[in-house]
Amino acid sequence: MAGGGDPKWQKDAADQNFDYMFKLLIIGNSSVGKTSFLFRYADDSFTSAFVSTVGIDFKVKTVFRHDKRVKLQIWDTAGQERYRTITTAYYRGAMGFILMYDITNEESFNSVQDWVTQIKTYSWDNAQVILVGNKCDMEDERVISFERGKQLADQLGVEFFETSAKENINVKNVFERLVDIICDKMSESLDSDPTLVGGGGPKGQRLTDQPQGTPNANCNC
Amino acid sequence: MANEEVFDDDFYQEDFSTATEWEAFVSRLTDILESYEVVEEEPLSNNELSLCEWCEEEESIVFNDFNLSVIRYKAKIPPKQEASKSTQCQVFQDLISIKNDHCLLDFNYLRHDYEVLYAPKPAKIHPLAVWYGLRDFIVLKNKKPLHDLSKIKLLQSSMRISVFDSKCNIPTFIQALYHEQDLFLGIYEYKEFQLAFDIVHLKTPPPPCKYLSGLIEMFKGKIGMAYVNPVTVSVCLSYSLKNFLSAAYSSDKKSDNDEWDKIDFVNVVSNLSFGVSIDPVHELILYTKWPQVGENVVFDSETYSDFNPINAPKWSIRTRFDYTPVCYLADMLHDYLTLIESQEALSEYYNFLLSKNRAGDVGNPFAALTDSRIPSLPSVLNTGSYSIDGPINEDQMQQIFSYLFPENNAGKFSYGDIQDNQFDPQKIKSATPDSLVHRLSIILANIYTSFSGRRSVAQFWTEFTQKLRERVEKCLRIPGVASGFPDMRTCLLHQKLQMLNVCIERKNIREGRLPFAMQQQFAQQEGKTDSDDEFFDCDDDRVVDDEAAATQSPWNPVGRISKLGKMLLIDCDEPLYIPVTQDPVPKTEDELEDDAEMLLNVSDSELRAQLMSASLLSDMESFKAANPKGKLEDFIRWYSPRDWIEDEANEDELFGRKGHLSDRMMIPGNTWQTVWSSAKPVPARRQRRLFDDTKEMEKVLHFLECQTLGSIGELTIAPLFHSALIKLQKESEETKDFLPNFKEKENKLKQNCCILSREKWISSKNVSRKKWEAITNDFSEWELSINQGKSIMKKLYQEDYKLNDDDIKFLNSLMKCYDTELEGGAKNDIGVRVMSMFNEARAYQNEQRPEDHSWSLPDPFEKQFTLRQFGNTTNQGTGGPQFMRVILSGNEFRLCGAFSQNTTFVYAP
Repeated sequence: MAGGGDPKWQKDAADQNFDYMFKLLIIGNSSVGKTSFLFRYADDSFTSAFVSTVGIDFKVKTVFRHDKRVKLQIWDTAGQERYRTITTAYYRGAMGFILMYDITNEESFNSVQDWVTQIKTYSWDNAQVILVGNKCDMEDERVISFERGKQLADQLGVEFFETSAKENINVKNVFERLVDIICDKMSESLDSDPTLVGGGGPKGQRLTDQPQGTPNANCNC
Repeated sequence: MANEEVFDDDFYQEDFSTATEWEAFVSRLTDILESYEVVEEEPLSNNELSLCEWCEEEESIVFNDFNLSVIRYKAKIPPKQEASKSTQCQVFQDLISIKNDHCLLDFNYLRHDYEVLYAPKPAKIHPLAVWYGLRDFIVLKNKKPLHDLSKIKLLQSSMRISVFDSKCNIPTFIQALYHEQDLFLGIYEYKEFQLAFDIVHLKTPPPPCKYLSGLIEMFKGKIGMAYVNPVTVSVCLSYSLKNFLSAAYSSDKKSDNDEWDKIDFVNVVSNLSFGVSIDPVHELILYTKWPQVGENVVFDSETYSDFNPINAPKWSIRTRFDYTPVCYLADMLHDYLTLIESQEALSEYYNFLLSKNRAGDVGNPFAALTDSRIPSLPSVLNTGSYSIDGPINEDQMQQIFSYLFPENNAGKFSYGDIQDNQFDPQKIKSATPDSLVHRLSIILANIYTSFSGRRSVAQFWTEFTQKLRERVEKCLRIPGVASGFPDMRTCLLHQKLQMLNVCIERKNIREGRLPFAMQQQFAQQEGKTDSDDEFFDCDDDRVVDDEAAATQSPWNPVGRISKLGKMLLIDCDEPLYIPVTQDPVPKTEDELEDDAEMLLNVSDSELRAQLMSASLLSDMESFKAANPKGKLEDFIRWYSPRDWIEDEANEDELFGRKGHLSDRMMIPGNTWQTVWSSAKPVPARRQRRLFDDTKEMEKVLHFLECQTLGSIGELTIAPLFHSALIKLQKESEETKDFLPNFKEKENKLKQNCCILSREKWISSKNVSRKKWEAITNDFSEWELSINQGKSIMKKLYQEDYKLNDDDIKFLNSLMKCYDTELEGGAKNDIGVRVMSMFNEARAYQNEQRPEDHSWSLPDPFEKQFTLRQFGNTTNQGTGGPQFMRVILSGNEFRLCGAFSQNTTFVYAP
């Protein structure tokens, strides 16, 4: 947002440590490595086995992007079918999705289309998506080639990375790229329609206050 | 400039070559004129100058007390395909071309400083372009008006020198006298020809100049030499029509409070008003034109004129709009936004809402709760006869509620299909059109803006919440709400109502009544099944025979749905059964936000997992009940198959039993294991409910009852704007094909509504309200434009006329206030209608009956004569172009001349 628009996300009155806050979601089939991926990014740690996520969990990380502190609230979801109702409820208000499959698991790749449909149904249209093929360190067990992944991503019109939470390949890149495209989209939508920005309010106050009754909620979508 | 450089240099104290200030001025002017490049372009097409864009370049010069701007005006003429550049002088050609006649911009109109927001901003066009048809010219304009004749002369001669020195090939003008008089003096040189532009501006014309005959005489006298060809004359007579009478367009609005009794109340409050207070078409102008006639074939004097408008070969019309009318719909939206400022609670109007024990006050609605186990479907509509005092009387209130809650969802007010599963990226976060939420919002807006303001809102909302409570207690579905769990893509109010329905349904089923889908079927005696309705899970019936067994021994299986494929349990040969589980918990978005917030406030990840594990425990207990011999491995095989790793070696094992749990499931003490160990075999039916519908129901009702008037406004603003948008789309049906930028306007409005509806409401400093307010302006603009279109249609076409492509082009041009040609003139169908409107207006004025129509028009409000002469002279060789345009209108007489001289003869000895 260097020279971009007004912050879409206003800082929390209590927390002065960031300029923007983005809510991100990691989704994908069960055991494709969502939790590991998140732990690698947020804590730079890796264990071969994380407890399978029950329902939904989150981690918070603050990063610097274009001289701005961006607080990322990253929600990690359970991939099991049974948890769909719970997790899809959290899609609304998410500004970015990391849609993950496991390159050693055909089924998880085949489900990508379903997940995209879920995003379309439950999120707003301005949410950004990155497709991620995880576990790229397990070259021996690979069943989904890079090209197939890339091709699918192109078809869906999203960006694509192959990653390894274990070997720490591309993990940071994925998050940084996602933050960048959210920022781009944000300033773009602000530029294209100045009438709705400000609305008489002072600059930089697209979202100035918490609505009554839902204290401290940061989602404005 | 040369002398400046000299001053910069200390060495030259005195520069003897420096010219006088005047010479410096002239040289500066010459420099500027020299810097302009001239590009030869194609001939202008009809009306092109008024439609194209113009660019302006401005330089300033200060000289003595002159403070001059040198402005070059240039039309941006797009290159044409058929490149037919001529070798002739462009300026001469433009002056002489009749195509370029009567520059058709509504110039008088433009000069009005219309400050109104939505008036189209036509390309600014300089009067010189209008009068002479010039595409490229330079104007020297002093900051202060030039009145002093000697100053004008001085400037004029300076300009002459500069033009001559710079060989500037662009007509150059000085603006004299008051700026608003638009008086210019100009010169132009081309080869041996010198062209002098001169303008006369008077309040009243000298008598010989009133008619063509006198003007021709004057023109010839001014030229002073005889041309071989006769003078070519173009004539345009303009007529104005402001009194439309039977063709007038306006919309009536019912707003007077005392009239409310007499009208169909429900019909009025349930519809959005639309329309304008006065006819948006302010004036219709008819131009009758003779593009080219020879001076010798027409005669026009005080006593006789050949120019009868009915016979004019060309007719065209133009509309002038009034941009000030009140647009009812946008006005109402704007008004409704003021409700949001109110901080008043409902209890300030109806304090019984405060007391917990309301029974006495409101005709004992709680009595209904105690005997609510009535299995049939009673009609509650007429039973709740308690009344809440307020401006809306009982009868009106009853009308409203029979509209909002039509009995059995049948009759004229029944809701259509309100299930909306369409994916629309621009979906407005509201509810389905004509659903309960939409109807409610429209009624609120109507009673607030044109009934009795806040009091009626308080009364109505209170009544509404009481009605909901009543329905809930009688287990009656709330109609006009999409079925299923609260849909986060709809507005909060709709989600709350969905939640109520979910609760009512669950309670119904718990109490052994039919689910809604079946009730409805029963009530309406209809054969069609509502297969979308997925409220009800009939599994309870299937497992009912397990009941007795369960009580006997804990090891007897209970609550099975079906076998999971051919799977067998790992430790015995019994099949693996899918258990009946508790239904997922519905949540509205505010509850979900609270949940998320709660999670965010728990810093320990394990604790969070525990918080999330309630449904896992429930599922595990159900599983254990259905599969008494099942193990965690079996549960995982059903619940999270990827955590069961089958051994590859065992190919003879058909049931996938040989294998082991994934590493993560084997982590000692992980949530899955701990929950499994604490789970008891309890079928879903007998578990503690994950979702307490009674509590949830009360929560929603409480939420609705505790709204302030302002927050009622917030809850309904998106559905109201959504309805308004749909209303405009409907109203624009017949005009949308010709409204300028219709699609863009529609999209922009939709997009803005979509964005705002999804944004969280920010009440401090009224941020959100102001944003909504900003888009009411777009609504207003759109509403006005639709009404303009309708008004034009009414004036020029029969009712129900089907527009063809030519009509659409024609109407689009009128919408843009362009001068629009009527093919065939007075014989054109529209021409006939125009004539009859003129006749009607005249008859009205003279109090005559309109039958007396001798086709005639009133006096023109403006006459324009353009005289042109070019070609060879009788005795002085080739003559330059001679041009004179005369504009005669009620309060103005303007004469714009451009006369050429052949300098070879002037300067020759």
